[in-house]
Amino acid sequence: VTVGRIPFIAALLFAGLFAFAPQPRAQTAEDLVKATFLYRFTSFVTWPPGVFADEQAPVRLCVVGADAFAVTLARAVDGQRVGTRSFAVQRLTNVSAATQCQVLYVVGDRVDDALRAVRGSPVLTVTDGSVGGATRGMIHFVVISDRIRFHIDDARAAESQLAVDSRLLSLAVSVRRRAAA
Amino acid sequence: MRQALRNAFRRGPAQRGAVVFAIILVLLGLLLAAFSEDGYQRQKASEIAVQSQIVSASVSPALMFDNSANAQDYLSALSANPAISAAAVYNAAGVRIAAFTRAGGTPAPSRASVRPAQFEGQSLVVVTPVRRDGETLGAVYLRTDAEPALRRFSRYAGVGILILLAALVVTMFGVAQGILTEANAELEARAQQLLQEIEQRERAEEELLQSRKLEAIGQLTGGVAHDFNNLLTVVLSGLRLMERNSDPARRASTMEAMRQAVERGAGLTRQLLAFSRRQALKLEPVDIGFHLQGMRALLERSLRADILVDIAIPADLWPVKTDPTQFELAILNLAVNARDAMPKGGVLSITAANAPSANGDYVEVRVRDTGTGIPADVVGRVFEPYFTTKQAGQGTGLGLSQVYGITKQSGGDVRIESVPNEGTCVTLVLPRSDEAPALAAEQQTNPSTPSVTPGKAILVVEDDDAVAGVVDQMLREMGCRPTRVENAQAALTVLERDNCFDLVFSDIIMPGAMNGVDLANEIHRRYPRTPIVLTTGFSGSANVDADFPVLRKPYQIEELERALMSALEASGASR
Repeated sequence: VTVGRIPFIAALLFAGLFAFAPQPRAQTAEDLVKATFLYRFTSFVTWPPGVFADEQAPVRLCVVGADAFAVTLARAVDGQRVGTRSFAVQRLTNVSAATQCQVLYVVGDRVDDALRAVRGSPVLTVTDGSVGGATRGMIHFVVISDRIRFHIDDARAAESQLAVDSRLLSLAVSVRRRAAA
Repeated sequence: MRQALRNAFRRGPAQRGAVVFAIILVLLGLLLAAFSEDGYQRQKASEIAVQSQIVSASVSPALMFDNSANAQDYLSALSANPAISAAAVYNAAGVRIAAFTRAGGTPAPSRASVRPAQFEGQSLVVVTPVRRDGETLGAVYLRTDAEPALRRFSRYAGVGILILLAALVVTMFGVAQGILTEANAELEARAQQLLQEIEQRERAEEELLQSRKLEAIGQLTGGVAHDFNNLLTVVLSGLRLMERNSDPARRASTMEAMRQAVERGAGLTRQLLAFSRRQALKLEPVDIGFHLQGMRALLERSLRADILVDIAIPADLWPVKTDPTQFELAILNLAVNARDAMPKGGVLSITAANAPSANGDYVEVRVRDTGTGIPADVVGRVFEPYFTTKQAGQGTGLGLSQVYGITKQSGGDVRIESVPNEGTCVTLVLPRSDEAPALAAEQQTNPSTPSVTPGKAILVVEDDDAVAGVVDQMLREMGCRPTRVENAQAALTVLERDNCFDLVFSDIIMPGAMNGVDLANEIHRRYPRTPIVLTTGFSGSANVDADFPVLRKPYQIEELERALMSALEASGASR
């Protein structure tokens, strides 16, 4: 360890403290449920051809603005598969890179940026009203009667060439229908 | 009926087969029902398994996103299926998150472990896991209440009844067949038995007939031998008397007695032959009065001294058509019966009267006795052959049968009236003859030698030397020139050599290939103009020679001469 690096390490530690400090409830059951829901959504969504390199290519789940949740999600998807694919969880700081994700969970103040960045791209956007976000992605978590529920904006999904299974739609609290094909 | 049923089951392969078939049919039906029931259960289990798979797939999103309301919606949709009585969805932790229970049914358990479709009592239960991408999300519980036993039974009842009916029909068929077979067998056995009985009876009757004939022949032989002894005594003593006595008048008287004795002997043999039924019936006009008067001496001698014979025949009695010998035998039979009916003596009266009637004229001859009479219960049977009331060895039962036979064969009738202890009257009704009894009258009126045909050459065919000698003597007496040969072949040889004979007189019964009838036919074929007269002591063959006159033995010289004359005249007339 060089002396030159000490400030960097200190800064990193500080940053880490800072990063985890605002999410004291990161390991809640609610996050686990949302994480589970998040990867399960992929069972009901069909991406346009060319999104995946091959059959074995993992589904990339990206998290913006919720690092603790990203950890929970990473644990939740461990060993899970959808079809032939496994999952890969990625924390994003640069939302412009989100176009490479298949699912983008975004909370906090960068929601609008992120949504704007992936608009039209085949990325399933998930927002979370339970942590106070008002802007809605294609799927928007809410808490109703102490249970996690979600709204679905199928019209937006359609703009991104995503097909959402009707069974998933039937589970939604509300659905914004896509225009009739 | 029960017995018949039991028999039907007991005997006969057909019946047993039918019963076995019926049992097999029922067993088959039961087996089919079992298979069907098993198949039904399998099908139901398969159905519920599929149903639970569908439910499982349907509720998997609800489980994935912990949406019990959504799961409940799916379960509620199951209520449309009336077979499902309960359903539930459990999450991965095994907690029931949604349930459906049909009204009045038992709810699904709060926790359930996965198991394949299986019956629990009357219910079929299946718990199917809900999986998604290798992850077990929970389980689905489904329960169907099996059909009530009654409804299930009713499903098979129709088929069952049909099978039972078929089995019943088959069984009844077998039983009926059995009864029929049994009846047939019984019938056959009875028929067989009957046949055997008939055969036995026929054999017995044959034997009886034979023994009775033997008995009758024995009786007759005895009687005839006795009579013949008497006759022979007369002849023998007559010959002795003639040897010792040279007085022509006394010799003539003795000769007359001898002639009568021999005639009676001839009559006896004729009766014997008639009895043995070898005598051909010869219907001819008969002067009854003449014959009855001629029988008076015989009757008086053959009946006992304590029996008075009274014969009363009117002079104007019509001649009748009958066989004189048979008629005499009939009278004799009746007389013997009368004698036996009068053990303490009495009167035998024979009367005759003309009986004109619309159906023709008849003569009634009554033979009446003053004997014991015939009981009313047997009077109807007395004309049956072999019927007799006499003790064994005393009567043949043929007497009245002969009387019946001769009157019937003559075209007449016979009646019998009897009053017990007063007597019996038998009436012979004989048809009147239009012709006069020429023979008897001639015999009576002209016993002397008729006109002879002297110089006629006669070929005599006779195997018996004694008879041939007598015939030769008689023919020479008549002025003929007889030549005798011993058999038919010799006769033909002689005729071939020199056919100079005016007539052939041949015996019928001869040794050799040809008998008299054959010879007569052959001679008639070769020499149709040569008249032929046959003679025989038997009457059995008398009916075959319709073409040739037959002189029956024994005969007198007058009869021989008449026969020869008529034959010669007939041949002369035909020329």
